[in-house]
Amino acid sequence: MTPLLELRSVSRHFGGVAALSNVSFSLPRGAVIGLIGPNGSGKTTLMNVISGVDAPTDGAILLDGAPVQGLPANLLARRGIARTFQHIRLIPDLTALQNVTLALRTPSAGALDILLRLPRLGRIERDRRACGLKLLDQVGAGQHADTLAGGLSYGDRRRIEIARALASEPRLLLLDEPAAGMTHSERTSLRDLIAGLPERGLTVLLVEHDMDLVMGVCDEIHVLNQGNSIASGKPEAVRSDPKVIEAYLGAEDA
Amino acid sequence: MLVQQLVNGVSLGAIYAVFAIGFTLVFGVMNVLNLSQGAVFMWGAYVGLEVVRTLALPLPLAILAAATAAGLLGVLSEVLVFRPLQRRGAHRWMGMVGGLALARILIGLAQEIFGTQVVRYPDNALAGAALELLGARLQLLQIVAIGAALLMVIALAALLRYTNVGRAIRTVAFSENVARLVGVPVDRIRLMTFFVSGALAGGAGVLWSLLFQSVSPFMGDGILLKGLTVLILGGLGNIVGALVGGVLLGLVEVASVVVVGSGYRDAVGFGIVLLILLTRPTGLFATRETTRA
Amino acid sequence: MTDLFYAYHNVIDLCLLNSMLAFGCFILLGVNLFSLATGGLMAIGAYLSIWLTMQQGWSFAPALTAALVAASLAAFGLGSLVLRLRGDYFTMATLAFTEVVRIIALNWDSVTGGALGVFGIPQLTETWQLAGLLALVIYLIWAVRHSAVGERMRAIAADELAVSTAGHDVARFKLALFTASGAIAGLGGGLAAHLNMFIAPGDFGFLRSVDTVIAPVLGGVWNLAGPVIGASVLVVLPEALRFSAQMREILIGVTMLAVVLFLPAGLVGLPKLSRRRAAS
Ligand SMILES: Nc1ncnc2c1ncn2[C@@H]1O[C@H](COP(=O)(O)OP(=O)(O)OP(=O)(O)O)[C@@H](O)[C@H]1O
Ligand SMILES: [Mg+2]
Repeated sequence: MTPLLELRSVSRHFGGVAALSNVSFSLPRGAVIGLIGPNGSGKTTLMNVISGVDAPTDGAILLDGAPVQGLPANLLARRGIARTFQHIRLIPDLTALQNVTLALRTPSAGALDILLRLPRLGRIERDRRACGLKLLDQVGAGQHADTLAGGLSYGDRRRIEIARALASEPRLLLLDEPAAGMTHSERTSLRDLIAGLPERGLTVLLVEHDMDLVMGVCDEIHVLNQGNSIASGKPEAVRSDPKVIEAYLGAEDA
Repeated sequence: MLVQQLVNGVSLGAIYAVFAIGFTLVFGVMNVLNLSQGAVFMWGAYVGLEVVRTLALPLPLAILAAATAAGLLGVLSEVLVFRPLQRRGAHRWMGMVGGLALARILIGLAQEIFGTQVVRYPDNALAGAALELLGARLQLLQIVAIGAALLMVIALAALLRYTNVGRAIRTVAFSENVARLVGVPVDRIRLMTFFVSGALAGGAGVLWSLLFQSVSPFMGDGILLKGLTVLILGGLGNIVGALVGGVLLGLVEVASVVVVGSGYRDAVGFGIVLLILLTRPTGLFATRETTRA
Repeated sequence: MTDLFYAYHNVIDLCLLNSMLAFGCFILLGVNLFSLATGGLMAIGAYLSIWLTMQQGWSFAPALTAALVAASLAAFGLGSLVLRLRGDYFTMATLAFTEVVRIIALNWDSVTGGALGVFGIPQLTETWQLAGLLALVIYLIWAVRHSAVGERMRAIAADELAVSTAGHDVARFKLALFTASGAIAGLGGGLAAHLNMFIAPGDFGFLRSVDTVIAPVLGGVWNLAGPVIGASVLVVLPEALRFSAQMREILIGVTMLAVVLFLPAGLVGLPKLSRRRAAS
């Protein structure tokens, strides 16, 4: 079976800086894959390139075996790639619920429904509201549905962003440091949430600095250092890989 | 004939360039589009005129006085409009509307003080003088305009390159935060930049009204549009681009009169702007930017 | 007495017309687009409609419809080219469009009468038509704003990237809005042309575009009352200051500046502000 997503020597250069060089790996369907590496190693750049926020300078990205590199973000979202951002990008002056329904795939009202305010409109918007509420409940933020996103705590906003990503019914979910700024108990429920995603048919690529979370939830881990893929394998194997230890220690020394 | 047209084009373009350089300087340093610049240009022309007419001072002094007065108007626009808006973190278009509002006030004041009729600089030795070059008859005024414009550009280049103020201006242009960190008095440098920018507009105003023998409260609108054209041709904030773009626009306009007739002269610049933007979305001499997520 | 009524009447017509035009800019400001294309798009609507009514014998309604359609198409074409430009580059490109259209009008004597303009246009525009069409425009914008599409609009204003990763084609959305604003400008152009008996290319240049986009900024860009208040102030203020042409310019400028400096939410923010003052 073809993997859901395959990276073939993907590179991204910013002027002289090689944020990614020749990164290759694939994401098997239904797996939770970890992506770790010291600060500035290219994790976010890789997420950008996969989600169409940015385009690779070189290399190929295959979704279901078909090349998708360089496609715009909205098309990739339609084809099943959703993401969250390291720096949360909720719309502060929309409510939590409105932020989630923004990404729903369920049919939205047509121009005539809206302009003539046909009865159908009420029904469609009620359905969308119900879908959004369900997703908010799943991430444990249901009580904030009608609060403006700008006024919520860090942990809540992170969870709402995950709900928004899930709203587009993705097959691949990219999470960029979802636990950052979360309390201990929030992290525990986040771990349960992520662990349950494969059952719903999702594949997850998780970037995270919280090693307990990564080791606990990932089936496989890839390690980046200065844009190069330096190790990959099962969590236990990666944890004890000397190259990985050196990369992290080297980064801390610097 | 060719030499004649060339000089016509370059003298027109030199004035565009001086005006546009002031415009683009403020943009490059502070990311502000100061739409009161046309009115400042008009005020420069009037101040120069008054100095020549009532004080009977020679032309160079008139240009100097006009540039100083216009520079102070530039400072006024920063103090009155752009600084408060920046402090408040106001939306970009507030600055544009604020600049337009200030322009209206300046135009109204000029009407109140100088009247609405078109006036001209008094005749002097320069006006009629002409010289023969390669078989072409050139107005001495055109040569003077080109020379004065050149002087202003050189003065600005020297200021930016060799003085402490110039270095500070370039640091602020790079980043206001970095400038604050290294101890540049950012507020004062912004004021100076506005002064320089206004002064260039004022100087351009005098040269323009000498060359075309007309001063009126409404003369700023046309040059504002030319300035915006050059701004895009040269790339927003690019001083060398504004210089090249200004001269280019002057030449193209003069050439267009010959080729398509004078009716379309003012459309040619905008036509080129549209073409350039469609092929190079950030101007002729622009550098690429990337987005960050 | 009739004189007074006439002048007064004219002011109302202009308030209605300019409010409607201001909504064309209002919907664009809502997604951070500062467009100066209004003048050019209006010119297309104005000249097409008078050509149809005066030279082709069309009646008013179909001529207005044609004006609306033509300006929408022009906006669609222009938008597909210039909407990818960012910030000030977009604004400049729309300005360039307006000026090119104005200069073409200036030179196309057979249709536009050149710089002298067209005289003797039948006065077909009625106050009730202006009021009705303005109400329609307001209703349509209200309906859109109170739907999921309105939420998407606000989201685009705040963070385009977030909206596109949520699966929406932001470029297409903006193009639709730009086309709609072209429809409003074209319709407004046709109405304006048949209001005054006379038009000239100068009516549709830089200043027209600027005045139209300033109205919602003055009135308020987040409130549906904003464009109406802003446009009305810009019509009524000069009338009220008729006693002195010069003082008029100065006072309009001062008013604009005061709003920009002290009323970030526009004139609609004024009552709230004074209430807060009174309370504290
Ligand atoms: N738009 C950009 N322009 C220039 N350089 C960039 C850009 N985006 C990223 N970089 C550079 O690419 C490198 C990788 O950055 P990236 O953000 O992908 O790292 P990261 O692994 O996500 O780090 P962190 O753990 O701190 O989030 C860094 O050196 C960064 O400075
Ligand atoms: Mg990162």
